[in-house]
Amino acid sequence: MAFTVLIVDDSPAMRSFVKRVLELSGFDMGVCHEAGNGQEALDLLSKEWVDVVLTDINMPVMNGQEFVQNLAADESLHAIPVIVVSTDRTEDRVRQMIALGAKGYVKKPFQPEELREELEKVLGVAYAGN
Amino acid sequence: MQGTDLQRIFLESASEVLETMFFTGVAEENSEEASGTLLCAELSFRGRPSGRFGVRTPLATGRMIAASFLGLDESEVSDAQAGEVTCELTNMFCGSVLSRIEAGARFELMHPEVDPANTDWRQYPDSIGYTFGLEEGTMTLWMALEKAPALVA
Repeated sequence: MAFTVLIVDDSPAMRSFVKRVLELSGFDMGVCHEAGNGQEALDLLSKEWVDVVLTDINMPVMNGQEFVQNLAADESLHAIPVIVVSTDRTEDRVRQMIALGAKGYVKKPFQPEELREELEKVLGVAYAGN
Repeated sequence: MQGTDLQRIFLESASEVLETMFFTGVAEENSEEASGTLLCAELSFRGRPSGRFGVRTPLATGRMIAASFLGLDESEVSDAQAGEVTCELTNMFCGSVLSRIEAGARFELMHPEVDPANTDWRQYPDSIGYTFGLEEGTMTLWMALEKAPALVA
């Protein structure tokens, strides 16, 4: 099964990096959507279904915290698992984002396998991509 | 915290970030700061302490790092992409440095921006910088801390 992924980050370079890491890690990725902030992501999710969302926190227009809150409050979207990918490394922030509804948290900088393992955990799949 | 402690933290953070996500590493400690055409990015952060954090590197080095990060050939990297990647690098360095200075403390990092004026970080009061060598070129990290406003009786 190929997973549809949404990467939410205001940096095109970071979105490109995450996408490349997922491809190189052997993650079974189908379509990969991108959004530059939380609002763009919500607009996209009103039209497209995705299996998992990877989101930054610090973004203009709508940040990752507001985005996760909006997703959690939306009956049609709250089942989509969200993994936060952020430079904010404080345990306080990790706890806060998990409490708001995120299912995983990857701290930058990260090794490619860390991201893959978090996806594997959140999606509940045994990895066959090697 | 003493300047030498902060320089050690800069070096540890640079090694961690560059090796993990930029597929390069620190080749030489305590190098001379580069001159010529530089790529500079900086951001401000709020917390305890608040301040500014920046990265300065020769343009050629910035392009090399961007190519590595984006999986492109150096000739394919635009100036805009080199700037974006340097901003991302600044963001990650700053997050790593602050987590080492004040483990557990909450900081808010503002959006990093390229500084086309190549502002000299030494103009900021209470600033400190550290330059190290890479496989190609050098990189300088600097930080300027804001002093807490004095209490007025």
